Amino acid sequence: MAENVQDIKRRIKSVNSTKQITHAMELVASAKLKKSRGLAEQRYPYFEAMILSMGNIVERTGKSKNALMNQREVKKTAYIIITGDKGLAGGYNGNICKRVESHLKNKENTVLYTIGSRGRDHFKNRDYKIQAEYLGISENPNFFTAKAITAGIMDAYLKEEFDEVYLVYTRFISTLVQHPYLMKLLPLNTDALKPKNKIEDVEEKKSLTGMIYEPDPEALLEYLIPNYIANTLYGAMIESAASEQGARRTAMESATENANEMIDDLTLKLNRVRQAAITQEISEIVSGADALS
Amino acid sequence: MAKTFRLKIISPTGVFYDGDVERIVVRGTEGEFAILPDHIPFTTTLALGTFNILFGDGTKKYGTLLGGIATIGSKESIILTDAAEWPEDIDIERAKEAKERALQHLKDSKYDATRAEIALQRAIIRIGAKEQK
Repeated sequence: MAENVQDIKRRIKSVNSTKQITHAMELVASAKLKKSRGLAEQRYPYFEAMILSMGNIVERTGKSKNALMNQREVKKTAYIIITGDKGLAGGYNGNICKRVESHLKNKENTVLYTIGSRGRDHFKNRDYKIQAEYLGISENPNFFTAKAITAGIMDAYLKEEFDEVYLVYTRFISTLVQHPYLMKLLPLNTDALKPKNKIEDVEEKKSLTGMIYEPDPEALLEYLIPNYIANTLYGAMIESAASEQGARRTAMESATENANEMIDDLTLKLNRVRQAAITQEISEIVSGADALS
Repeated sequence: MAKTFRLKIISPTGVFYDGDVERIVVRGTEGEFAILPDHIPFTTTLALGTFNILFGDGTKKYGTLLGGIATIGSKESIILTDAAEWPEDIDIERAKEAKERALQHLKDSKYDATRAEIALQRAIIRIGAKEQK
């Protein structure tokens, strides 16, 4: 055998220390994943209640004059792209970039808002126009950050700097499965707000039809829509953060498994080499003794 | 025991309060108003400010609301707000620092003005709520 005992021992040692790192990263990712999932659960009641009241207002007022709801001819498109700040998360960052590129039609008529350094680097290298970049926030989503980001985007949208906005993020399906997902953020699709369940309760129905809106429904929508947009982004940021940790956890788990396998193989090899050396030594001694007698 | 109604205060970071109260006074964009049991169905926008709750047993509690929307229904009243806080959760020193920082950022065009403005409003409300006591 070509390798000697010393070399194999050294390799085992190095694989082992890599394994310790990947294992630690796996544990950290699991802990962070748990936190992100908690955030997602906490966000839910607000989002539900908000969609409900928006749906009720839209149903009452019919077509709203709100500029964020009105479709216009599309000349320029904006994308909000959520990726992580760090790599080593399997295909997490790459999948998002691929999803954007498959949807993008025209590089010239596109502006990008990137959250996370990975997406920014990817598109910067390919000469896309990046309107704004947000770093260091993908791991800890915060509602006020989301609100500030969307405030800028809505402003630009109303100034007709672009005519539609897409949000690209990673949907968290389970700890093992995450999918890149693209949704239209602006103009707002009012059909999605229509109440899904018909209200059966007579008392509640009466209170809805008799509902007084102050100052008026349009003014309420003016408050609700920006919040809806901000909250959608906030939700997407949370899901992306959870997905990133999930992807990293899975990647690190398989890396740890691979390291274990390598260590097993190397240990087997080491034992064989050692045994071969012993066998050789014995046969040498025996043949030496034979020659003497 | 006085008549009460179900009140929920919900913010994007979670359900802040969920329980029965006798009265809540909040600041609407049209002025301050109180919600009592059997209020007519009513939806309105809220301003930044403090709210006061009177519980069924006569105890009172106040806190801050960072704007929002109040929906008074037949069964329950829901307040959706950007953020809500009890005064005991407010760190006055941090709020003062945040105010200073936000003022600095507003002067400097390098920083995002909308972000600084939100931070400033937040800090002012917090400091106000703390000093009310």
